[in-house]
Amino acid sequence: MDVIIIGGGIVGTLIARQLSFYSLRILLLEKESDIAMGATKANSGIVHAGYDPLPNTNKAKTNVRGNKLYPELCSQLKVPFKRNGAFVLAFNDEEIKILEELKERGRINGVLGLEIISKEELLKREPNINPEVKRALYVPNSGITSPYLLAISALENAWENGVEVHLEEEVQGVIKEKGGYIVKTNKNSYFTKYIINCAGINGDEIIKMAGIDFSFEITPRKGEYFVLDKKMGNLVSSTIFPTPTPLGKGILVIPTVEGNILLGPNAQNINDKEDKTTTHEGLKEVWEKATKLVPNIPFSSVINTFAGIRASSNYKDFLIEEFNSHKGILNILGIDSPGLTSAPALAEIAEEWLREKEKLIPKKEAKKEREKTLYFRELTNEEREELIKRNPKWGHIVCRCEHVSEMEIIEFIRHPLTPKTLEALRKRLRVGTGRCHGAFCTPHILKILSKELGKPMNSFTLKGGNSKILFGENKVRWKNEKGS
Amino acid sequence: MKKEVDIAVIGGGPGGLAGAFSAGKRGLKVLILERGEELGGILNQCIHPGFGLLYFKEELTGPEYAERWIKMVEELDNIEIWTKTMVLEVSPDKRILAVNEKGLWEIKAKAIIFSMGCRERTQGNLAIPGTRPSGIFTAGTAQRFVNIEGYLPGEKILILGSGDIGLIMARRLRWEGAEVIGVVEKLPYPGGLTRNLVQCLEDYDIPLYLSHTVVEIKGKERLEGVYIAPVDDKGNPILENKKYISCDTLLLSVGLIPENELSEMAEIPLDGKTGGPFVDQFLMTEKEGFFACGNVLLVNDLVDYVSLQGLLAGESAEKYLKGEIKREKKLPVKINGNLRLVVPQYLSYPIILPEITFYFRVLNPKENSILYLKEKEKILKTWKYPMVKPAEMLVIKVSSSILENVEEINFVLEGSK
Repeated sequence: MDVIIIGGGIVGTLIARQLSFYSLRILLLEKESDIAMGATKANSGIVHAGYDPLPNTNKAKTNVRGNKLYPELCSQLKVPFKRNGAFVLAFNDEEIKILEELKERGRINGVLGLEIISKEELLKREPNINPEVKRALYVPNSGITSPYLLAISALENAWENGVEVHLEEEVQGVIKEKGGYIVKTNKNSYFTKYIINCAGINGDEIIKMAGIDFSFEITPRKGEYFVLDKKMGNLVSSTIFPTPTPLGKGILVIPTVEGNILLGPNAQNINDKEDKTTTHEGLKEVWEKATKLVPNIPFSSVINTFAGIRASSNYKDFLIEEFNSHKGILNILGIDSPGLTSAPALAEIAEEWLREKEKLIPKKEAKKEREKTLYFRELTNEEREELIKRNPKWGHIVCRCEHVSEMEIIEFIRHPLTPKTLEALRKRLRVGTGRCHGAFCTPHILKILSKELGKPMNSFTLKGGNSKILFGENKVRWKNEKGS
Repeated sequence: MKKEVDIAVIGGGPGGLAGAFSAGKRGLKVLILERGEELGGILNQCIHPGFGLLYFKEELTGPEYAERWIKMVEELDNIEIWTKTMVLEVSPDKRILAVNEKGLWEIKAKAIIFSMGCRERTQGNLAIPGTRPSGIFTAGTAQRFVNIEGYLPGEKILILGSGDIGLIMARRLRWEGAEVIGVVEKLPYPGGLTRNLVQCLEDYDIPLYLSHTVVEIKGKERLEGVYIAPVDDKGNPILENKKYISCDTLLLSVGLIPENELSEMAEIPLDGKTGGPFVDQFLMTEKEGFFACGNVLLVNDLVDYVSLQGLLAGESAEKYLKGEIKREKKLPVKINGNLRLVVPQYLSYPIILPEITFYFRVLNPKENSILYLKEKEKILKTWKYPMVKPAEMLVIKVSSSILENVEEINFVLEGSK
């Protein structure tokens, strides 16, 4: 291999795509059953403007650059992106002072259009905000996207351009070798000239594995969220922030590109990197703080809760480093907020890093554009008619909440990069993510999987491993007992 | 493609079947739009008996009960049935956008009967803290897996919520070889019908934990267990007293939500108490020509009532088309005391119908209750109940002659603990 990318989150997948435009042999390794399983799956989906990071940090630079790259990137990859703007709310004089500081910091970072507006102006634009608000910082460049659709689409693009992708393959050793490294996994070993370590919360393990003498530690920070029904979609149209504190950006009210509203995240330092549990206290905190920004949200509008983990580190800033002792390994780690926004800029940095080492020859046949994935719910009636004529399964709606047809499900199941799990289909198609939470469509989806792949319904899992959905056939235990 | 009909019935479960039959036998051109592969709705997976005692005076299973109505509907040539057809939109001017494997349909109807049924409250609605493993199902989904697909959702099962589907699934899963650890109910009284408590739990020694709830989910991939805790008078869990229960499956039977997304698209006002549209004695919504019956109107305890509502909706749709429904005056039906909700929520005058059926749900279980029908301080009629329970509807019939010239309709339920 020329390059092994460790980690299939938003950073790894965008790097894979960026490098896929050149004649390189690239392999992306992901230990989970799907890509976008860590912070990329569970985060706020915000493309930040860049007023928040301290000037001249990696965060500030990549944030502002990343924000600029987003519109074109999402249009090439056919992923939803919306500049919905943001408001940072101040409820007292002290907070107004901080808004002034943010505005100034934004100016230094190169963020355009920041403006402090009056309460009246704010309430005119966002009438559901708590009327106790005093002022707000208006951030026109703030946007929203779907982090996991972006990662999936980027990697599918990279794969079409020849990048190899191995799921459920965990890196277990990195050994220095003449002219490169041996990467050992649970399944294989590979020689590679270069490694890009963007392994998220496990990035520090890779550093240790490679024997890099650098005191770097991921200090995972959990954030919990509520998801509200699409019926609440008109609650706010911009992303609503409280005034930030030294602890972070705080708990927000966030419109999503899907039309739901997210409330969250809180921030809790945790020891266990796998601890994606929601807690009583955490959810309570999120609810209280979010409803301080936008009051009168009915609890009955909650359709889901989840927790995600930020790959924060003791380094504070993003670590973007090739160590002298280990030339050829680029570490891009500690990617917490604004990591999603910065990811396209981090991909550029990875490309430039490689360009200094190798002559990068553009691949003629490589594509930057992806064909638009057809989603029934987004099509015009004419387009729907046309597709149903081509294949009647386009007219059979399986997911009633999100209007997903049988044909969409079949096409995704048939895509080589789609893991054959329920969650993989949920991420790609939103089947089972609506208000019925999959109560109606899950049996149908398992049946379609079963028919497509010729395996019984009980052989499929939610998200790989032991997450099976069904046990045996009815009475299997009685039968077993009789048999023994 | 385009289509025109007299009556479009959205949903081919028991409500829709009765609505279609009733309109059809009056000679109207009816179209049933059903998203499932077969008519009958959720009845098809309710293979236990207990259906039809009221309407057919015999005990039938769900599929048998559905089959009777399907036959009645199929015998009428003026009723067209489209299965595997999803209604995407309903507009206030009674245009329906639907899709099936033949294509996209714009259907123009003179009247529309809503009979979309309900969905179950889910794990997401409950926001139970913890992990998000596989092995958590609504009771209805589990019922489908066992009764239609032939698969067990798990082997060691805990059920949260003592609604009827949960109770029935406790027994069903026991029969299929699963271990049912118990049923956990947040309220101090059970949510299901008494006959289901006896026949599904007591007969099988399955424990019922009242005033308890699930407070935490454990397990990274498949469910490994849950914590349950008692709740205080206000329903808040007492976390210090939480207790771990090892299980691989959690079934949720924690309430039903009428599926009124299409009604909302048609700009039909909904009653926050029933979750369904406001209707008058014709089961006509606030938007003329739109009718509602069955669980989309209110969550019913017996399917027989669903059918009766369907029959009335079909009959009323004909009256509407003939211009017989006038709505010259509107009088709200007030409820007080131990009543939680009522259907119909108001009466339209002239009443036309000889009698009116009122459906109630009560707030709290109480003994020796008296239901008063009052006009101001004047008592017009009374009904006595030795016992009322939130799980069981009160259904009464009132002769229209009593209500023809009143200034107020006020139902009050009073009872002792």
